[in-house]
Amino acid sequence: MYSPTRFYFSVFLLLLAFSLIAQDSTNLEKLLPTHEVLGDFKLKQDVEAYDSEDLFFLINGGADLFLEYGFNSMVKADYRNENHNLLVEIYEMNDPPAAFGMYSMMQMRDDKPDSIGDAGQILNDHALFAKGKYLVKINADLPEDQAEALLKRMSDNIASKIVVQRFNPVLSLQLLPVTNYDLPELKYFRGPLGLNNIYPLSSKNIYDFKEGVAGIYQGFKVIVFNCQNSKKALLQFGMIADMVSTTLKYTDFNLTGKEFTALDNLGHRIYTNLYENYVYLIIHSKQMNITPLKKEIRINIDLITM
Amino acid sequence: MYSKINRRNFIKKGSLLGLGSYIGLSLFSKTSMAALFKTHPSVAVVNGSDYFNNTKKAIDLLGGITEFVKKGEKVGLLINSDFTEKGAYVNPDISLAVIEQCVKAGVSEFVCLQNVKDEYWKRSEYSGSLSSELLKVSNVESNTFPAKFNEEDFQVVEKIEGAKLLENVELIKEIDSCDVFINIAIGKHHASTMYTGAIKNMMGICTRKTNVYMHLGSGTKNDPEHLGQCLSDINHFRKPDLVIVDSTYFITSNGPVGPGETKKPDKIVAGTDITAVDAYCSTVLGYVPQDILHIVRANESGLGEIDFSKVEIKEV
Repeated sequence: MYSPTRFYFSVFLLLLAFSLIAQDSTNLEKLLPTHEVLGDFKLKQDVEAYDSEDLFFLINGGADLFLEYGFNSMVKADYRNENHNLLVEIYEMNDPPAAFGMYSMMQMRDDKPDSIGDAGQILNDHALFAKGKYLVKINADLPEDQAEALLKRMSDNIASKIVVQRFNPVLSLQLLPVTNYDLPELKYFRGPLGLNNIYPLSSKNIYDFKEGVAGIYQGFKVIVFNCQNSKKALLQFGMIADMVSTTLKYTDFNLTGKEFTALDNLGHRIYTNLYENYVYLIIHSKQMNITPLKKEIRINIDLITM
Repeated sequence: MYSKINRRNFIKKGSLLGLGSYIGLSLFSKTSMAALFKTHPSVAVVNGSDYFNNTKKAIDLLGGITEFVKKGEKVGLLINSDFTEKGAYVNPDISLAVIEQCVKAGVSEFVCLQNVKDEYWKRSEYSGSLSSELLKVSNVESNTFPAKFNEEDFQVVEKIEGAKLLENVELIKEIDSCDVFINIAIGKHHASTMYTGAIKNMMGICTRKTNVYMHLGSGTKNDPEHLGQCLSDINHFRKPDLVIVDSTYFITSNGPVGPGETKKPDKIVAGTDITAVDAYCSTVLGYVPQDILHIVRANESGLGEIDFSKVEIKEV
């Protein structure tokens, strides 16, 4: 049977198993929708452009997450026709995983796959997609039934102008277990802000990892991040263990060799393991048997590091 | 060092000095006086889906609006209104309930210390029936995101008493002319601080330049210690007379802008202790207040209580 979620997952695996290195710096304004799709929508004012930390002057809250992933520049175009507004924002990130990572954080839970860019969705009054190193967000204040077609046209128009050239390997979402479990909502992160969006482990920056992936499953979460080398991974594991053992949020801390368990304030059990250069966490209910999960994650790490 | 003198502070200080002489004590601070005669809880929580009336109930639990405002006074409102996603901004029913209560108490005028757009009020069904009350509300219009310094509306405060990191802070002048200051925030997820509520809402009185310093000023892209301390610091400039936090419906991920996952606990939380109110609201999101750095730093610097066993909370 056709499973939209499986299709969606496959697309993401394809994307993140191989990093897409997009074309060199494109003039971002050239990616904005052309008049064929804009119809009677006209620019309300000049296109705004922002670089690097100027992003704080565009985004009221949340700019630091873009910087954590690696942000270059963006353009914002505000259109209006007689009755409606259309807002297009195009972000150029440092690389394609950064664009995908931001997408994974900003996307809404939605089973409906939308074939826009490398990964994308159209939901209610907005479209969001990542293609290459670009992240595109479009908002239209139209009724939902009219908005969808317009947003699709705009998205396809912009995506068609982004040319992706070659592939490079990055941390793979194949680390996540899929045997015997419903496919998860996928997240890719590069620092504590991204991680805190998935599971707020600590408000202090105790991290020294390169990148991480997470799967939000029905009833549990798996978070895997890799460190530069085994020494750093051991240090990272120690920092997390120390934090968990001393933070009020956690109780019932139990450390054995390279793994520990604890109970968080919401009643979830948190299992953490150091394996090779990776630290992984499983946040689950007290009753859940996580032995098969642990086994599959370790096999996945072995396969990746072979 | 910067020192704030306005009508309310002047009268308050004068009265306290007089009372202190009369009963033979040198000086009572506002906090110690409140503690001495306290009959109301520090934090009031009202549950239910009628947000407008529940806001009024929460204020009543704190002793009623006349505990906070007097006839003819000018009220400064700091409302987290500048987002478009539901669950990312304060439900306008709550802000309008505060305005209605204040007007009944005889408040002469309001100023929104951060610009509140007309469309925000229109999101509430009460905006029509309270249109005459809204006529009393003005805005510091130039304090619209991303606010830039201008001589007319902003001042540079070299040093805030009690602050550890923040210096040369660009913030609005108008707050000094307000007799009463009411902080109306939403308790929601924030990627940088995990929880944002009333303490972080105080960034709304500053220019964007100052706020960017809070985020990036340590030289590190993500330095939660620096941000947490700066947030505590800015709250030393002026403590709110009343804090109201919308914990009715909010985003629990992808904050502070959203869209994200949401939660609907239907709680209005009000109080006089900004740290206690935020600490309580952070638990509504599922956090432990001691894990939220700006709440911890606010508590350490004397801005309020983080330990619930020391706070009187009344929940209905």
